[in-house]
Amino acid sequence: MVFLGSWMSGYFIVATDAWMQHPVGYERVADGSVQLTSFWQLVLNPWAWWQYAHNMSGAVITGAFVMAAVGAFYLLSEKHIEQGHIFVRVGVIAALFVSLVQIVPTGDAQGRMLARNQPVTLAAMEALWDTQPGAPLVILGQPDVAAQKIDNPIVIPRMLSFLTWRSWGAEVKGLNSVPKQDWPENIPLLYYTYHIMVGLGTIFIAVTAVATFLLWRKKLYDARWMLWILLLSFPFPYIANTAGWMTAEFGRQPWLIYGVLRTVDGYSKMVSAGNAWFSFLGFLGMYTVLSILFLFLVRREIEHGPEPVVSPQLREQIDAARLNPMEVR
Amino acid sequence: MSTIWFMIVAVMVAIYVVLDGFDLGAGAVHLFIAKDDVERRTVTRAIGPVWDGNEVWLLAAGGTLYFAFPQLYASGFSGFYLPLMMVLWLLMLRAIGIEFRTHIQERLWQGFFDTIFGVSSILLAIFFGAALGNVVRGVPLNPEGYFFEPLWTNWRVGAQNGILDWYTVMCGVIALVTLVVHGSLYLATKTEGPLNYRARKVASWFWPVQVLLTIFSLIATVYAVPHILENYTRWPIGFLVPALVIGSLVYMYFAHSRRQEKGAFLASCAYIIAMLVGAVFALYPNVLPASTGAQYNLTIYNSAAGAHGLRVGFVWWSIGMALAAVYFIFVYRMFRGKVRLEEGSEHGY
Repeated sequence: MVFLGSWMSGYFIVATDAWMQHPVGYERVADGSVQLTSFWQLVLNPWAWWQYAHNMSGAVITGAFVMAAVGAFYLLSEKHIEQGHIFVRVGVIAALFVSLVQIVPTGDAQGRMLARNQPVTLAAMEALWDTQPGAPLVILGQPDVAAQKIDNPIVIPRMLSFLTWRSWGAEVKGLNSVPKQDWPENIPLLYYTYHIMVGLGTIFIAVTAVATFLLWRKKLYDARWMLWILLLSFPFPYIANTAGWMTAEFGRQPWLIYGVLRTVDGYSKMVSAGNAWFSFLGFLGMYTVLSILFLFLVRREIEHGPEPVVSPQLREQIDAARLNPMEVR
Repeated sequence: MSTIWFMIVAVMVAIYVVLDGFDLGAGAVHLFIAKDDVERRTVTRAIGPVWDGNEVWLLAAGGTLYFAFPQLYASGFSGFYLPLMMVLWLLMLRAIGIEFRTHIQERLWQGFFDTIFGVSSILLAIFFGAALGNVVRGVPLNPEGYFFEPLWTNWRVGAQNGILDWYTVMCGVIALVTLVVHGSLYLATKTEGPLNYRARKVASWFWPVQVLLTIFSLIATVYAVPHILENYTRWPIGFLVPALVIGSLVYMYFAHSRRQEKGAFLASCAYIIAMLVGAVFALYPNVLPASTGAQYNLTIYNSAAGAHGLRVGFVWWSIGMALAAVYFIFVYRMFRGKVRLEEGSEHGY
């Protein structure tokens, strides 16, 4: 029930965002506002399906990596060994499988939708200035917006054309194909969030592939170096997911609803910037405190460990011991 | 169709206030009536299975508002920006209070989160009352249908009012008192022994205050917002509502003094519903009256969404509500009766 409810509500949330990325099933009425004309077009928006699949497998990656990390922690610190084995095994296999799904087909499909519907966004994500056939894929490099170039580039020639149009020579639209006012505002930030997401995704596949190989050779549980990597990699799916959402939202700029409503026209005229800062700082403070509490409690939970697999009788004895620790001692 | 959606939103708000009202009230009084850890846990156990579900009604009512009256939503959420943010923070703190206290069996830790839970519940009750006061009193809408209110200005009811003035503060106080009684009566139905005794005691103390404030608020509303009676004079059937308010207060008193715990609690529910119906009846067809002149009022006509959306929404809303109703009946049946903490249940609520 919890699974069904949360995954269904997740779909509707993503469908809303997908509508902002790729509005369908609406019309503009006389006073300039937008009205829904087809509920089913909204729900069955193809953008929503891919975005949803991508988002949810991102969530599963996080879960799988955290599970593997906790298991690795148990194995490294030599407690709860039995559960540690289960956590690492399930976590690693699940993470590898979903990380692959994350790139192909879900990530790939979104990239191709971008090339067709939001070419400016894609160009900014890849820092591609000029429209060109056989566009390269930038792996690393620092975009210089003023000079319209990339410093220290490492690129795969023609790869971007192949990925988006399935043809090495296909033409990919660059930023200069549209006026500057339609460019996303912060191109370096968009470029980096996108590259962080993709880069981490690639690293996830590499790490879990090696771990799965070790598991298959029955060496993983003793390979302390690999367990360390698994343990330390737990924050990265969170970062990748956040970077992914930032890519989606910065990429849509300067539009709030792509092609329909600009962000400058969408904010509340009545709320002053000072008020917005007040609430922003308030949330920042609240979440800082919450994160500290969260980390503290999660650490306690992990230290405490999972319930061991025991018989009901033993369970009762343990409970009795917990109730009256003095008697047992 | 807009009238139907007006009523739907009103009903959802009423359900929210009645349901979340009792756990807010329970939160507001638990610092004073639950003395030790066992009693505190009994209180959280009494609302534990339902409080989050109850809060979803606020979300659902807000979502329905957004959907059915987008103009009102846009205007209200910008105009009430700061107080809404604070309500959000208080709701978060309250949830933290309930959820975090159980994680560590330590008096300092639990006392800290109990206090957070109690204080945020009290403040929320006041905020919600003040919010209703703002809607009844009206806000300084401009010709485009927007407004911004600072938290307070000169505390007077006039064109340049703040969120808080004497009228809305009074609404906040009456909301707090109402929810204190409501929550205490709820706790009385769910508990036994000293806790039950103290809960009933609190309800007995606050009942006269509630009666006085109710009378005072009726007079004050007519004084501060003279046109509020227009709908009542047009449709005199509306005067049944104040009669229902008084009737439920009287019944609450008799049921309470005869220790009919359920009856008293139901009377409190009826009181809350009647008060809200009274306000909504007076407002119709306005959804947000303007203190700057009736021509700027936001009404169900100038703030409703498009016809197709409203029609499709009605179908889906009905399906959703049917599901929610089944869920609520199920949950409340499962957790009916008095709360008894079993020995050794030191984890969880």
